[in-house]
Amino acid sequence: MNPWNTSMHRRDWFQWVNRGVGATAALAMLARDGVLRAADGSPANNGPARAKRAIQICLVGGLSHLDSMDYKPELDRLHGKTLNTTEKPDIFFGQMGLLRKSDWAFRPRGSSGLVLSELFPNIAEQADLLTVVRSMVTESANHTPALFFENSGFEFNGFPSMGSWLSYGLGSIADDLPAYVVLPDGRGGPNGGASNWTNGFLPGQNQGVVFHAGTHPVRDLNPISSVSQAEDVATRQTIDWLNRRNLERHGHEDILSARIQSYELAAKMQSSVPLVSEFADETQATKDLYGIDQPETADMGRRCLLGRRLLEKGVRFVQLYSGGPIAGSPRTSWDAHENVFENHSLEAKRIDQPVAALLADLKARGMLDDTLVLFTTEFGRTPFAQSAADMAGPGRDHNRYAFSTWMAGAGLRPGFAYGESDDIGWKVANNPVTWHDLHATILHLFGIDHEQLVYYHNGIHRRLTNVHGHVVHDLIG
Amino acid sequence: MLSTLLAIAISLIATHTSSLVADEATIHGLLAGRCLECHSGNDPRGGLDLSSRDGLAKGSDSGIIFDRQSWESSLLLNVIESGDMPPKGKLTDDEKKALRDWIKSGAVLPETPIDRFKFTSPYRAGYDWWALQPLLEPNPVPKSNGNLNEQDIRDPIDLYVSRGLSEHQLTANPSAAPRSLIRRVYLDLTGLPPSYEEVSEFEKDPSDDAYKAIVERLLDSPAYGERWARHWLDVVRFGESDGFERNYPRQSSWHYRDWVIDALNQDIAYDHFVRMQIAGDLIDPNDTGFAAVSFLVSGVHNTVVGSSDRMIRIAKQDELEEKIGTLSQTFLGLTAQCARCHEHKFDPISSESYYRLAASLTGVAHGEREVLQASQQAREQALEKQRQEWLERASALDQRALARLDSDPDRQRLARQPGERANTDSQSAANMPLPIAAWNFENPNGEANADTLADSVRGLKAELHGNGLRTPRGLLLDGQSYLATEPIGVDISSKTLSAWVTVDPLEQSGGGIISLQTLDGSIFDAIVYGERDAKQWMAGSNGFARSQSFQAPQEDSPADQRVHIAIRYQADGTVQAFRNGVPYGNPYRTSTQTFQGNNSQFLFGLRHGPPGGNRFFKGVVHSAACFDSALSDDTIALLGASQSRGWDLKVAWETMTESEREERQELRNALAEIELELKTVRSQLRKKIYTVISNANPGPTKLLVRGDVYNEAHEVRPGGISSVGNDPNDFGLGSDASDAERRASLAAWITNANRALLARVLVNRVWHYHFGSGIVDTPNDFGFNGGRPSHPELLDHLATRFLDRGMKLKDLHRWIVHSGTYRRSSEPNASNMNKDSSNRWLWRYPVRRLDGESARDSMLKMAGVLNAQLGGPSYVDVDFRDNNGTTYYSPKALETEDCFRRTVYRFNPRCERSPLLDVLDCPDPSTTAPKRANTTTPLQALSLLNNPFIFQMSEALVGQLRPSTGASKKTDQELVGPLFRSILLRDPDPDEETYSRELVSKYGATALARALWNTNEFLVLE
Repeated sequence: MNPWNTSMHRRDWFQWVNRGVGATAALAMLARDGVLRAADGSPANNGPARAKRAIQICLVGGLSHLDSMDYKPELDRLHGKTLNTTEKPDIFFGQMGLLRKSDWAFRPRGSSGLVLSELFPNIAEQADLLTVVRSMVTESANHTPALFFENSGFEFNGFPSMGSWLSYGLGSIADDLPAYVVLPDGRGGPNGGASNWTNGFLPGQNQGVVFHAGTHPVRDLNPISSVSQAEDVATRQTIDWLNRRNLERHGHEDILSARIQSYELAAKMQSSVPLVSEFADETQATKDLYGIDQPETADMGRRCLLGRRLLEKGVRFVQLYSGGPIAGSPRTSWDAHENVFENHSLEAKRIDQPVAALLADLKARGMLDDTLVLFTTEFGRTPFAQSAADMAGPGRDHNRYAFSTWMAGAGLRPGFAYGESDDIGWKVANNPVTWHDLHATILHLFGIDHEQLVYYHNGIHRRLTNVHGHVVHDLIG
Repeated sequence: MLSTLLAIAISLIATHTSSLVADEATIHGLLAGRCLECHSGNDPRGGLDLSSRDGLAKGSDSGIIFDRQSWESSLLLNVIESGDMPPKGKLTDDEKKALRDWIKSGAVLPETPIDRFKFTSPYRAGYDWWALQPLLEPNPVPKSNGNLNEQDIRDPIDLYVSRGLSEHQLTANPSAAPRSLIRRVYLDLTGLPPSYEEVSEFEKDPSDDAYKAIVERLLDSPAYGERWARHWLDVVRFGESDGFERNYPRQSSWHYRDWVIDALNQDIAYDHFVRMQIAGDLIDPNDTGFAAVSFLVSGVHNTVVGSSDRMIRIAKQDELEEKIGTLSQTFLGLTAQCARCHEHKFDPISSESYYRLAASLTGVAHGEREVLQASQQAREQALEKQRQEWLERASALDQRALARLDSDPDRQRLARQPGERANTDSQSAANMPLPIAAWNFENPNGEANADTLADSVRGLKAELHGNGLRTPRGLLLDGQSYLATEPIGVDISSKTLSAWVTVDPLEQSGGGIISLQTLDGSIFDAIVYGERDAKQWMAGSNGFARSQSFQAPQEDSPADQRVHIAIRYQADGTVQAFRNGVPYGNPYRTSTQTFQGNNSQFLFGLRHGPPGGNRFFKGVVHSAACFDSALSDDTIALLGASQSRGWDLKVAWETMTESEREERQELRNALAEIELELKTVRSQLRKKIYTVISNANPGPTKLLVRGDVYNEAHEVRPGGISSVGNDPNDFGLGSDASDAERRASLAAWITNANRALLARVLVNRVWHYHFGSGIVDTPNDFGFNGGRPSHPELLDHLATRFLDRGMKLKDLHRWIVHSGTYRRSSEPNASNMNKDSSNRWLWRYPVRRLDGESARDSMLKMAGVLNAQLGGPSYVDVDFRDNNGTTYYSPKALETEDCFRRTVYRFNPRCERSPLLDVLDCPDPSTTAPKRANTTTPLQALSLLNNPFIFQMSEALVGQLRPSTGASKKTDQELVGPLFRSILLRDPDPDEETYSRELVSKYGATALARALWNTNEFLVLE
């Protein structure tokens, strides 16, 4: 009756030793399946996996859909008019100014004719690769709960993030790199810090591993500088020798074998991580493509390139943040309460070229077929200005009722837009997509049924999608 | 599968409800589990209510669904057989057949709707769920068992375990080697390893007596509380920052951690431990109680809610869910939080019960408050008592000396002040008018008491309120007490108020010495200290109507020197004050006030009634009088000079004998010292504690349909979970009840409603920490989704014993660690491994990796740098950075020496944690962690190899083994043995010695220390 009693280290062991997609997942899920679906024995996986890996660009602070992906001609017409409503909207500061048109021009792009603004000119050139969702909705108009929700499907601290679920369910493709890597904005971590990539109640190795810039990309990767490599090697030989003697003396013990193995894998990581973090083998053309030598794009360019390299080497999920701490002046995130034009121009300049380069590079390397690219934000911004009621000021407040996101690769329908907001982009008009839906869809692309990827915690089999979520099949090609 | 489950369910039911017909239970269980979630209640899906006879008869939106005559073609049967219903999770053939039989026989349903909680079924737990039942009467256990040797049966525990072993054909391991056993019990009970010497000693004498002595020593050591508090802190999700957006640090929440450590070390009864955490502020309203109750608020707290009504309401409900979830899981092993939006899907917990708990906790808010510190308060009282004794002795000495002076006319001249007039002689004294009333509060008989407080002129009776005392010195007032007379009986207009007084402390304001007031306190004239001008005397009056500043110097008489104050109210409205017989500052003119004799009274120690605010006086009133006339300057001078001439200590001093002076000087020194100490103690009297802020009127709680904050149903009153016990689950409180009343009832309910469950959950937790896995392996969840007990009789045996012996945790530890089961070796055994690799039946002691705290604490202790300081503010190994109100934490590059304390004292913010502790599975305090993962990963290996802490400890250990001075300085090679003894608690064998010598000869002894800390032997508890 107690199938969760399988010893944890055994699972860890398999997670690291078994290679290849699905091996650990199948194993882990079989165990769980025995509990959950004993009656009808429905399979854990969900058809073929279109995605093997994913990279998420996470825009912190709230990107204005009205100024980027969701063109509203009606807003041009109604600019400076009042939004006739008696509703007390659930926004953050509560100040409702007059309606405000976009600060950027929109036009159809590529052969698909996808309409995008001038905010991201380079990304817009890749329009034919994009699958835009214009009917996103979320629960909270408050940054941190909304960001937690985007990451974990819950508004609270302590729930595993999507990357951790993928790590738990699928493990890493390579055994010498972690499954889930996080690359925060060079200006600082997002609000909620490491809670955004926490493993929550999942085992610790599923936590997002932060790669830093510089010579020590991963904490504790190497010993302090006074230790020579020879000493390090000799010390580790001693550890191995002592552990193996222990094994001989006491006979087989899982925990001991796992320990011996973990030190071997640690050594492999020590050599793989610096290799992947250095760009020595990249051509100058590639570096130029990502803009790593220009001051505005250097931070994101470097991280996008590192992201591609990590994916190439077998990392399952890479998460890049655009935007650091929410508060502050000038803002270092997309939280354009004061002035959308100034803020978004600055932020877009930092990421437009690198993200476009990432798409092009993945495509050129043939990786886009089974790599999922996500470009997301925790909520959108209001069609009315955040200003006095008789003004169309330059800033916009949070909008949880409608916002946009785009995805690419992994068998999605390219050059396609799904769902609609209303005429002014205030609320979703049709085909609403929740984070649970998007998460379910992403897991589906990885070949996982979101209702089957579960972990028992506090009385319930927890899922990334809580008790909700529907796969949006229309997004898939 | 189904039949097994049913068999289990039925056997459970049969135990407790023997009269039940199995068929009814099956069908009701089936309906409750598979149909009624949608097809019952106020708004059943498709309009169909399948929970009662009427509902079935009424049918669904599509019409009649069942008709007895044509049952075979009924829609009811049709949707079941076609598999359309239920839509999710198909029915098995057995289930379909059972339903078909039921429909065939008329689809009988009861008149009253089926209570979905009534029966346990294969889908959910009912009221008859095992964990909610009374404790099992223990079945007699055979005294001996083929699988166990006589000496392995050390406790009844072993008999229950042996039964499981023999049922599964497992052979128990022999007892562990002494070295393993002592290391095990040290790490298990205190989280710290024994020293090599302690191991050797036990190896020499591994007797039961020696083991017993070790166990007692460990349980008595404060390290026990530090160790087991850490377990508890996991469960109660204790963290030291708010979480969410701001994640503000909580610098005063560590008091809770210290309280847990203390409570465990003191071994307070578990039910009291529980009550304190729910209502400590009410049970023990000082620092202890407020620290204990901060359990309720030690979880996350969203401090940025936004401005919309919806977000505010949701945040409030989220906060309640967090508290209810933690509370019900921690103490009852029930996941009540699952019933916020709907009836619990698996356990008999209704939404009604959930909202009863919500109503019980809705008055709890998060916050920091200043709380009286009980220990410091006691100290302050003791010091103050001592000080008063010394003041009495000093006063007695002074008075004796002055009395001597009074009887010696030759020396009376000495008493005169330079400005004092010569004619203040006995003749003037004889002409002095008789006062209206006069009091001498000095009680020469010595004992402090409240008797004979009447005045000596009219015999006005008086009543002492509060803790005031009449002592040899006079009326001792503590700032919360006062004396009030009966009505005076004569009218008073112009007057003189006179009093001998000691102001103590000088830093106070607004207290009245003597006050003439109307009985309701609305009109008064009084001698008041420091009300408007700091430390100045004033003629206090209602609304300052007759009060102006005398613009006089500040009072500076020390506590052992009395002063005389008189205030004269003339008929023309002139008010003048005198201090020690001479004019005090400037007189002024104002109106006059007549006090009616039948409506006026005197007060002492209170400016005016009603008592409260800053109106109380602190110090001593020695004597006082009221005259119904404006006395002359001479008369007042005489009042200030005669009788108790305490104002001139110089004079008293001169009349003292040598030995009196010596004593007086000693007293003066002692007083100065004790006052300094009191000052320190008083500054620490209050401390800030992050704790519960209790709402006096939290208002009504409404049940929220589907948890929707805008879908309020009926009002729900404070109460508990119905299925838990027979105690009143409604606390009988109205919606106007205060938070205090609600929580007091909740604390009583949780500890009394179902003591079997309370004890089972706790006993299982303790077992879980001793053996790495509980008898129920989901320690927070004794419900349907949780595990089932591997040894139900053992669980109930321990719970029964625990309850019978007063719920003391240390008893429980003793039973367990003295059992043969606990003392077994952990060696693998191929045959047992094949049958029970997870060791569920406890044929061996389970092998586990040390938890992060034990690993770090062990290194600190072995390296000789562990700071054993108990309690106090947390050590901080992270840097804080505030960015516009949001706090970011990042691990310090290097732990500084102030961090070298036990890990339980680590400042534990949410979000950023510690690189080393993270990889060793220390949990994120954002949510409750009833059990930890126990992983072995490459990232863990990297941290154990390379975290700077490992190098710090290696160097410290080597430094300790090889002091830099001294003749016997050891070479690196000579340190091989000592390093093995320090870390692995044993000597190296010859091979190890050779191998290790090679390493240290090339790279030094620290390399070996680093290596040994990375061995499985160090990192594993076996």
